Amino acid sequence: MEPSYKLLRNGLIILVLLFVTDRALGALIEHFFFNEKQGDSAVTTHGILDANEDILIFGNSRASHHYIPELITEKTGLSCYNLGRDGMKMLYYETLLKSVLSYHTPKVVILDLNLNDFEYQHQEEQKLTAVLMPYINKNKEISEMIYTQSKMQFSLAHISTLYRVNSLPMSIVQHHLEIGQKHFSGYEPLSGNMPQSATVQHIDNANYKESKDQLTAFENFVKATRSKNIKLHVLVSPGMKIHKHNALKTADSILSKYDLKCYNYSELFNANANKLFYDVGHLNEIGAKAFTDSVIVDHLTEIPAAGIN
Amino acid sequence: MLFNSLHFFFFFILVTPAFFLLPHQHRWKLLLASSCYFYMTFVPVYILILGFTIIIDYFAGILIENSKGKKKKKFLILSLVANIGVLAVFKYYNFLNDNLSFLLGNIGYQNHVPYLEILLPIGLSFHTFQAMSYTIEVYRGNQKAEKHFGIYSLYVMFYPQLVAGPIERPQNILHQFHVKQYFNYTNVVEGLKLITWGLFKKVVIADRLSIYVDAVYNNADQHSGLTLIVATVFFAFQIYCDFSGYSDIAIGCARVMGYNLMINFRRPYLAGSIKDFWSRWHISLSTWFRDYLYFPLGGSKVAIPRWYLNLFIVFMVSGLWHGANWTFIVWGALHGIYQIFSVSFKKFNERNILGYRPLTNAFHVLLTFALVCFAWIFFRANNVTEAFNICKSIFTLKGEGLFIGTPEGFVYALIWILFLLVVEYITEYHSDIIKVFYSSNRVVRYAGYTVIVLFIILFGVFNGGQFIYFQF
Repeated sequence: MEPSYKLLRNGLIILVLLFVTDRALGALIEHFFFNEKQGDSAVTTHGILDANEDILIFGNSRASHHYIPELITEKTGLSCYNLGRDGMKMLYYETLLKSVLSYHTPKVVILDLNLNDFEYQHQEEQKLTAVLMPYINKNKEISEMIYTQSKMQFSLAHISTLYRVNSLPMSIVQHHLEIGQKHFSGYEPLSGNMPQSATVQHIDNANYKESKDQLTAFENFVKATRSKNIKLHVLVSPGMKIHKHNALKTADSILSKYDLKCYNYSELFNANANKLFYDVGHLNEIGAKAFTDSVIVDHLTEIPAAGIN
Repeated sequence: MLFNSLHFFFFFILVTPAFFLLPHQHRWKLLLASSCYFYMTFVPVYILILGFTIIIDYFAGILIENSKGKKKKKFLILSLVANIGVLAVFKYYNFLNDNLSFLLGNIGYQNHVPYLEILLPIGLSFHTFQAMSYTIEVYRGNQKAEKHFGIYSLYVMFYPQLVAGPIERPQNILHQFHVKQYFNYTNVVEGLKLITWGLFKKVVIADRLSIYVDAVYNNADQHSGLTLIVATVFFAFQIYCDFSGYSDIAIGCARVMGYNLMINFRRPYLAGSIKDFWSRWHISLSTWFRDYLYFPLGGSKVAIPRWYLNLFIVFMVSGLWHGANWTFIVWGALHGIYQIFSVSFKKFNERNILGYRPLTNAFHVLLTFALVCFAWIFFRANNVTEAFNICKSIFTLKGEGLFIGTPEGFVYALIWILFLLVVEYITEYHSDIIKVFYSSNRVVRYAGYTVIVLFIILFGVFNGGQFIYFQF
């Protein structure tokens, strides 16, 4: 046989083999991925595919550890889900909100603003693409976002099913075995507290530089809630590391265009901080309860069909 | 254009068939044009630098061949000065200026020499060294001067090894461009296997490890001694898989077209001594320094103190070759010191100190690995002060706990290092056992190919990570 035909024939056999195993194995991993009940991905999946709650909370790990949906539901009578995800920033919140709004309109959206959310994060686009890749065929907003961020990854995700679940097998096993942190309607409680000696620190971040993309994403987030008449609350939750830069002013200047303002709770628990914090950035269970109570009283009492029980 | 990009994939599947479809006399044109395109996808204007050195060395080669005595030497010196001059301007000028400013500042003077606002051309040290090896070999009479300007240009610019080697010798590659390469099934398959394995090492192992290593080394002062040890070991495997992965892809791409490039790595972390390590790590560079610097300095055929000095000089220069930073110079100096100790205690090293040969060998492999890792600290750290602080944290076991990053990422990193070590160990000591890629049973062979490709897709890190050695 001619060597070129031999190569063509054998290459074709391998391609077919690759195609079949890629589709089969990919579909199997996708099945387990979309059926996760615990972990960060389960929260994102809920937001992208089946959020139907009245109140939705957006943010990063501080959101996921600071707002207790069950307490909000109990006190307001409104269903609530915490969509906070560790390590994320404005671009993620915006994409997630747009995905939710493509099929559901909540009554209230709470955005937990981290004072570093407007800052550029190294390789954020890659991180964002990696997190949202499994949903590329599930939601138009996400598909468009991935196309904008990386045409290469967009193409690969359409060629290979397995690529869409890249690097996920380990976490899928972990979440199905329920190893690690558990969440309750997206809320992840933290047990333990800071040492007695811990005090609130004021950080003067001289290198703080706002990213245009993050600011645009923030404004788009606000606009998206406005276009659907959703009540938006932008809050900065408590922390023991208080940044002294201008993020709050920037947020307010954008929000004021829409008759909104940012509520700053960052120094709410300065007095007995060490008992209420798990670490400098996150409240423990007791702190989260106290903070959620404050949020309910300050922001969620006047929602139609809701009443303080 | 990176080897781990879709851009390269399309480039490769267009250029390779076109190469075989063209008549032999036109192939060099295709390869040269595609190599120019490949290089210009980085910073287009820097092709002019390559053009400059190519023209100088092409004519220098012919003039050297046609001259005798002092004149011959003059042409060689002219060529070397031009090449080293380009390196000096683009790679070392700002570094030297920095150090001058520091020295003058210490004695109360200000340095008014301006800095150059230039980017380092990709792979400059690689193609410059390859170009220099040509004129030196012509001078030594080991290589005839290449009269065909296009073929000579291709020798410097051949895209598979243009930006990160292997640094070829003219005797090995130049004549291959004159010979008609026929489509050969074995060559194509062997080449594709190498490309796949190289890609696996790059995107599955190196880029995975880089996530952890970057997180630790970019905030080294925040991490415990234990974390820094783990990050350093991870970096050792990262740089190995990154660079050897690149070399495998380069050799594989050339092999598909029928060209044989020299081997660049031979399981370096299984070396039993530092000398052995350097016969396995970046072989094309270490043999370059051996042939064109160490031997001319007198090698080992001189008095012992001079021999030690020769070793030290070679490794210092090797450090400087890697980059214009004191971290690389210290890294080179450390390897120079290791070499001197290694040859001084040769007899001790050969003794069976643990009484059981396999155990003694394992001890030597581990000791060599530890020494190499220690030197990697200087290679990876952002500056020398930081490197010394990292050493201090490691030796005092500063802080507590181990930074994991993302647990799954950490576990993947460990699994792939273990996988690599098993493959390398088996290849080193029981090469007949690895039959997956070479099994006579087609089902086993194809299953092997499928699994490795699926591993790349499922576990690879596709963040467009550059190859570390591009910067050199």
